[in-house]
Amino acid sequence: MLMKTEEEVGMDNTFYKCPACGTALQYSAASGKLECAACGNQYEVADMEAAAQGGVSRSAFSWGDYKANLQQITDMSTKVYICKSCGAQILTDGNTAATHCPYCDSEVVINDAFDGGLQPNGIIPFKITKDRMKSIVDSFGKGKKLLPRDFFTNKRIQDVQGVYVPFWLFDGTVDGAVVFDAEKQRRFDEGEYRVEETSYFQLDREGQLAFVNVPVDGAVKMDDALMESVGPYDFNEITDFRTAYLSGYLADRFDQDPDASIGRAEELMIASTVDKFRSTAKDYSNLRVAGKNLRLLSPSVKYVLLPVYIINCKYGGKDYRYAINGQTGKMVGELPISKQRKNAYFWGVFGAITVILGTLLSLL
Amino acid sequence: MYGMILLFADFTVKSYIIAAVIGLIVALITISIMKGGMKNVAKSRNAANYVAKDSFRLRTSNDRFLRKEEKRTKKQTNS
Repeated sequence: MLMKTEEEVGMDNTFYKCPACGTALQYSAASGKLECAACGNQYEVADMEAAAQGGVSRSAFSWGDYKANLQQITDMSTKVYICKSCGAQILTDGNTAATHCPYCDSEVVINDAFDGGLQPNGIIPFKITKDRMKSIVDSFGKGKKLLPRDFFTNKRIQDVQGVYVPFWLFDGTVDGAVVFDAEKQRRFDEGEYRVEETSYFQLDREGQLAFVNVPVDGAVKMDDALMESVGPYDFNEITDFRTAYLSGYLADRFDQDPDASIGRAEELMIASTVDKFRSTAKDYSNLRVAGKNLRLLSPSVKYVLLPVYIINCKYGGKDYRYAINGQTGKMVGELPISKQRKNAYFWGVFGAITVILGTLLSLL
Repeated sequence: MYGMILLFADFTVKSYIIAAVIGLIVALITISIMKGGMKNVAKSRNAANYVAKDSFRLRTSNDRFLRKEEKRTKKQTNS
């Protein structure tokens, strides 16, 4: 590993260990490189620093600057409801009444003091209509043998609520270097010996990869895993926001600003960049990231509303929440397990195998 | 004759014990596969769906050999 130990970091004179043999490296003024007196390897100073830092930085991104460019919603027929339980602020148009919170199913009350709110940069309108819910839910539960019978009741499906969930879409370019430790293995016979040969390498990769519309949900109440699973969305269908799109649906206000969300977008972009660098080293085995120095350049963000149907259910005292992509119809969530059905399958399989196999073995 | 019956009974009991152990393992595997199919929610691992087309630029690609290790094992000979 090209890392400094904690003791070394704490010292005034920074030094690095040779990745090949572990000896302390010395700077050679003649070559301008770090050299290992024990094994003779030479390393670029920048590479060693990059590997030692192992860090990630980003160019300036200011939510304050971005917020200043967002317009206020000016349509005063817009209504705001407040959830008594979880505090969600739900927007809808003047013709739609909200009675229950899409997040926690608690009662909501209208808030007369509508302060306008920030207008999203765009919206993907609902394409999947409510009358398709039954078939979507049926195919989601199809083949799930441990699912309790009648878990998704017709009432639950009829009560499904379409919600525009606030998302931040981040653009940016990840630029920098990744250092990998890698191996090549070879096996061969030499005289009366079998030889296993392992060659060790250090691979330096430097470059950049750009990303467009990496979504991160801006609602703290919404389960991140659920929202990341319900995608992908076709962002080519983003259109300008109009309050009319809210008719018949609810919209949540973001309660997590992009400064708090950009870390997750960055994490995903960096994982993809490392994977991309890794794909250029196909001839090696046991590839491990020894260090990285990556920067997120020119991050920018859009505030959009994406369509999601939410179904809340209870079973065995536990809450279950399902999300259906309002553009594609993809349904995600965790289904409950019926103990009765699980026991029936377990003892059925166990009993059948014990009797049939036991009889066959005893006849042999 | 009595010994033969005991031997046969012993063999039968052993057969069913072996079958029960295999049955237990298969039943546990079956249930765990069924449970796995009940959840399709997981956090994304990367942003591969959102990579800008043809945006990858590789400026440096250096592969440096560090060292080599050999492990020698004497071959088994049949005598």
